[in-house]
Amino acid sequence: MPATGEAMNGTVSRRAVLKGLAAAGLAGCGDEASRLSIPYADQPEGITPGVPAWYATAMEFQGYAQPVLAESHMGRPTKLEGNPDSPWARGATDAFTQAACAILYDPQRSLAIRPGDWAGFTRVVMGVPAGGLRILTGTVTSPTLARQLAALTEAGARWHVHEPVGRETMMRASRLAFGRVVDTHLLLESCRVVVVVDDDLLGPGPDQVRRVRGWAEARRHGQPRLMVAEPTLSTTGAVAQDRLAVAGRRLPLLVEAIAAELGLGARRPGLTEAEKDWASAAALALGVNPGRGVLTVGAPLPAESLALAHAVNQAVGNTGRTVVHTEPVAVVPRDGEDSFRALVEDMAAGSVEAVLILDGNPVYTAPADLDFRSALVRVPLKIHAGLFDDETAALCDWHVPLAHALEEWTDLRAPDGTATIVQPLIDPVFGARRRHEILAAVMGESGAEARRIVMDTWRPFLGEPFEPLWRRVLHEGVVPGTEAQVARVTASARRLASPIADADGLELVFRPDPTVWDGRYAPIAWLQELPKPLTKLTWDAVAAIAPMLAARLGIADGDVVEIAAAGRTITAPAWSLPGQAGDTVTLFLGYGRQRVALPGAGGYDAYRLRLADSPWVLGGAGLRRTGAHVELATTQPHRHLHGHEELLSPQPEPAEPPSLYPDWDYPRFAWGMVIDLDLCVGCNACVVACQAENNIPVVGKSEVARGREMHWLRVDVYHDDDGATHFAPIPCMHCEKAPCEMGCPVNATVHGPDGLNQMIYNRCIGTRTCSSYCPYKVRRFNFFDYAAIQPDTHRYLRNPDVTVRANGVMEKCTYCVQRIRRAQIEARAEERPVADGSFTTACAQACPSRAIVFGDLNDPRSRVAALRGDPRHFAMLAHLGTRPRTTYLARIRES
Amino acid sequence: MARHPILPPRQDYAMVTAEVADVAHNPVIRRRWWLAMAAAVPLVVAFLASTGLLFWLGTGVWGINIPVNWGLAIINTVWWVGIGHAGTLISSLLLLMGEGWRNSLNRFAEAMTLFAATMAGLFPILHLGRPELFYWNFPIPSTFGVWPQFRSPLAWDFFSFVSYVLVSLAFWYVGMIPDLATLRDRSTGAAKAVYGALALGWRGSAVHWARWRQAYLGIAAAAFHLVISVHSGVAMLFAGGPIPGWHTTIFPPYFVLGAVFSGFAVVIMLAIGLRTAFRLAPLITMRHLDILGRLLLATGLLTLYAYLADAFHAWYSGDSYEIRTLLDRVGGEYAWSAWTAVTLNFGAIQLLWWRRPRRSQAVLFLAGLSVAAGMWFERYMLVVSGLYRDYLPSAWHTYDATLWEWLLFAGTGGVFVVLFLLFARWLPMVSIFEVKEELERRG
Amino acid sequence: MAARARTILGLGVAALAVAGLAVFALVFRPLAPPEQPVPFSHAIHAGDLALDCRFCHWAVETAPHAGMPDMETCAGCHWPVATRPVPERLAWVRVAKLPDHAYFDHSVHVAADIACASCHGQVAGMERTRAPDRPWTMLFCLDCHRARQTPIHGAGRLTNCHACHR
Repeated sequence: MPATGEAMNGTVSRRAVLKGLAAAGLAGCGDEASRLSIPYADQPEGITPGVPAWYATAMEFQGYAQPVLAESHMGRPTKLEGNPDSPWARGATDAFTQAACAILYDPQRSLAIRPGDWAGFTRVVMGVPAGGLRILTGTVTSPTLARQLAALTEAGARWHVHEPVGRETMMRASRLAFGRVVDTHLLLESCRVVVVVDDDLLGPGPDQVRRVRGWAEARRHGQPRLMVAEPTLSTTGAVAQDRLAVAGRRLPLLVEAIAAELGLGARRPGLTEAEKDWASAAALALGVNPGRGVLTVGAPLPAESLALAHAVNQAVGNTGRTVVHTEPVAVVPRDGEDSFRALVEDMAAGSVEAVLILDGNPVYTAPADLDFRSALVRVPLKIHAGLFDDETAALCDWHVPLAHALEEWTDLRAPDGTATIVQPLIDPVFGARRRHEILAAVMGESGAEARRIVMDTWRPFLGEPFEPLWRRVLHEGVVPGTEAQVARVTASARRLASPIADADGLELVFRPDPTVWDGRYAPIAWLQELPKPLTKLTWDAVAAIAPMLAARLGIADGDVVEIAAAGRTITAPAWSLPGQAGDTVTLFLGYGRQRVALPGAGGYDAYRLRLADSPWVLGGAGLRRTGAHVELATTQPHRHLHGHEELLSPQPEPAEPPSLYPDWDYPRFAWGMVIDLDLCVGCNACVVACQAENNIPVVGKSEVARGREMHWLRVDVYHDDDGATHFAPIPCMHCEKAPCEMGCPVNATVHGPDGLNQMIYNRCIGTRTCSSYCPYKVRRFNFFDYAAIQPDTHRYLRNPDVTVRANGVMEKCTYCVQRIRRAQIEARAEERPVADGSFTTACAQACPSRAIVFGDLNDPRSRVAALRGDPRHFAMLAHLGTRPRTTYLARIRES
Repeated sequence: MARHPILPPRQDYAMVTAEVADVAHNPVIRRRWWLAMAAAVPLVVAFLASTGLLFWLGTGVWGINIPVNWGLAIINTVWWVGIGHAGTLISSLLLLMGEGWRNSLNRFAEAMTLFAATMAGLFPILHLGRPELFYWNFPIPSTFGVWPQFRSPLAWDFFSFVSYVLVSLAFWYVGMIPDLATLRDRSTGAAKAVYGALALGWRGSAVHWARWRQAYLGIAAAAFHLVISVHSGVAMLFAGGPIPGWHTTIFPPYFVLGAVFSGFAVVIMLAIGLRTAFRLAPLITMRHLDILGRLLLATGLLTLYAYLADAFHAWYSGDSYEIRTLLDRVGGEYAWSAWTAVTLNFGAIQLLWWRRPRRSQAVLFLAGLSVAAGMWFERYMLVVSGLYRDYLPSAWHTYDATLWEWLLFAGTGGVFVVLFLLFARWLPMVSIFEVKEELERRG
Repeated sequence: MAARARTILGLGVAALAVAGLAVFALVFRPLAPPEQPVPFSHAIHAGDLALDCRFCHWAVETAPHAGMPDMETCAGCHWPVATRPVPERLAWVRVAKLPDHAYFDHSVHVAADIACASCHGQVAGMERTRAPDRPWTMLFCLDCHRARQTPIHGAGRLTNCHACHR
């Protein structure tokens, strides 16, 4: 079976489809598995056929824990949910974590150690003298990994860190302000005002879940006024009340202006009126809310600006109240911010005998000017351990397949420091190796077992009796008492002037891609097909430019442009993005992979223009049209409201149109959903959660371009005439007077006694009348046998409680009816009522801002019933008389 | 206006019989027949190929998507079934009203109806995601214990299409029985046996004629209401949903008028084709063409009224979505389909106000062709511009038909022509006895 | 002559009818019990010994699936015999099968006091386990689900499509 992308893209699509059909045919009725019933020889404890088991563990994102509860069906992990017991996650996850199971079963994962076997590998690594060994990792928070690295360092090896979306600027700023590295945590839930200078607080990242929750908590009380200045539209900018688009090189001036107004340093001249106004308003808001505000400055700015922000927060009295500094959660390597550069210089100088690259792809992600590739080839022994046989693995002498977090015994700390023991739900699927065992082999303990190594780390911490305490922390998924210690630091008051770049040419702004991040998720079809929050593009990265610039240069969306900077050029499809500063171009990292890329994934390699010294902003760039044009696949070609602002706001109560049909009565349950548009940041966690829960197939770029994406839940993004951006998650509305139910000739979509608009796949003959009649166009159709063209390994990923839909069948959001049924059956068996909040839909479960609330409208005390009484409550297209069960709370508009 | 005799006076009964029955024996006509067949057969191959691929891979071989999940297939079905309507109208309504001039036209018009309705009936089945399960539309008891959903316009469309095909077949066949007996009497060997079996022992006795007349009128009465109901049902398929541009009460009459309009256009084309190719000018006269021309003009004007009423009500509703759909139709992505429809439908027929063009075969034929094409574009406009932008701008998406959709459409054209040629070759194209009746009546 | 023709015709019709009945009987005959890897008898276990169904099908009250006994369960009683080589894998041929699109949950039916036999037939009398006499069509399920007075306490009509299909 080919990789998913190949199966569905471009010219090979038909052949792949046929192959898929053939495979489906073979696996049909004559299947041994369905003819036979094979019991266990010896039934294991705790496994009941048909009843999933749950385990607490954590996924990893840039070294940080994303604590989860993992659902396992007969030993197969299928779905992750945020761990409600984790003080950091509180039950929510981000989109990447929701895709973790798909990564576990990814068909492109490397299958075998090469060139030899494990025994050969251990012999080779044991022969390396510790003094000549270098170890390169990403961010490390794992206490066990830190312990092993410390032991290796002690033996003479050196450890380096490379993270493409790294924290170097924050570390440098922390040293400037406090003299040492501390972490900075923003308690957004206590803020009245949040002033953001190019820092995508609410966007994707290892700390997204907590920040979005904190912001949403305050937002529920109409709080923080979010003021954002940034060169390119970010998630944070999209939900800001006050946003200013400014080129990156001017942002330090804004920070200084704010500081000056608050009595720190002098204002430099050269601000425009708009910039002045914004800075004054921001300073005023910070000044009148001492201890209830935050000024936060992002990594793209010089460290001096970030340090100045620390000083401002301290001066205003925010530090200690809304801004808390703690000891760093991630271990700081010996060379600090220059760790990676030091490695590359040593390798280039020929002084490195062996390098072990543990989970990373620096050949692809290293800044272009460091020339990591030619430095690496000078190293005599190069070892790569990773999930994929990627660009770096190709240049290495040894490649060891690395275990996925769901196969791993390790420990990780969430961004707030709380540790989670990562326990495997499944033995390594593709003969992968666990990271602690690899490091143990390097240390000469090739027989060591990862579980033992992790237990050894925690034995002193947990104390005696160890075994029950250990079981308990495994079960809870959180180790108590591990949160980061507050650091008592004082920002130095010395004047911090930021270097200001020249103003010639265009400015390039680099951003991690919102769905494939720094490229690590590029092989994952789910994340490739996940629409980017602001462009709704799939399978591609674009160079975002301002609509004005596009108009001036005559560039249409999809026109290929050549971008030159610092002596290098790349070509990229252009895209005009509202809210982009006029003389800037945003480039997204993560595309243009040479290996394990999915065929069909487009884009370009932005790392080729990235410099080590200024990884986020690069001035003096040129842009010209090439005359070429590529087709881009967006799930939402129209992102403007076209004057239909009423779609997203309450309207005067419309007269109920007459209906020939009697009202339904809902004797027991009346399920409903309310989505708070004020809290949605468009993060996509709900979309991927829905995909994982409901066996939603990936269809490939060409099918998305044709308008055939299958996501049951979409998050619409709209720009209005005022330049504001709006997100609107659109699941099935489960109308009480559903046009689709009226249209179906064969009773395949019918109204349930609990208010669900039911879709019965096995009855559907595919007339598509229901979709034609749906005013919300939430129905999805299997134009091909999409289920059959998923990778073979993804069969293990499927939720056995949800039908895998056939070719020619309509499908749509069911409010996760399988969860409703399970809750009802369990309640019935235990002879208790179904309590509000005892279960929820996959989307609501994942949502970090808890914008989606699901429950029983018949229960007057349910949260969803209460929200229906909110003055902001409205039904979309209420004037049609469809009486949707999914309703909305309108966004609060200020000013 | 002086009434022209509908048929030239020189005709006698034997000549009529010979003119119709001996078509197949004329070498020139035979060559023309084979040429037409050779042109149509590749299209049948295209039909089989595009259908085969469709069944093999799924409806994804077409350009349809969400939101435009109905494409050429539904456009074609509306178009084909519309064409059928004129045949039924000519046959049944004019029979019931005693309009004798129909007698030269009804037979092939009925054949056209039957074949067009068959083509129309194919598309809704082919367009199903799971075409093999189309029979779930039948209200038959089954092991599922589930019935069709009787509120759905589509369920009733299914019933009305099946009725339409069956009634058209019955009407056509029953009407043909006396002529089949004529053919039986004029042929020998195997053909005689076949025609004999089909003629059901017709001997032309007074009792036979009386019974036959009863049956024929009865079926005519049954067929007539289908002219109204079938296309009203098709219209309800669109009007039933809350989609702007569709959700309007003018749709049923709008569709019926349009259907009859396009049907007359195709009847004109076929009449001219038959009288030229098969030398039937003595039976299908210029007077016939003149009447058809007037009917085309009249139904065209009625259709134009429906267009205007539809647009007026969209504006008058004050509904912003209705108005936007109206503006989209005249100025949006698919404005070409609307303007092509208006031009082709109402341009050429304006010539038919005058007698001279009405009596010109070329002008009439081109007017018919223009209307037949124009009505196809009208359906394109209605289906696609209704779906590609409905309510939420986020769901808007365009539609482009793929090669396979076009091939399938062309293929059904080929199948239609082949069926019609087989009919022309083996069965009486013009009702022999009814023409004689008309001669008798007119003296 | 005519009488003879009528006789022949009559005989022909009769022969056709007999042949048709025979074909019908052959096609629709009750399925023979399939060959199983072990000649297990429900008649002995559930009938003569009167073991409760739940003794072996242990998950039936708590899970969607009834559960098949593992070989340790068999060995619990058959210990002396089980010293004979036990097959590593016991592959029973299914006799009770629902299509994938029907999500049947044993636990909720058992909780509603539906007797096993009402769907599975008189398994306790089966020497060799065979499919129930009445085929499990949707109509079979609807017989109970549509009844106003169902054996399911208080639930009334349960014609919610999502009850079984999702």
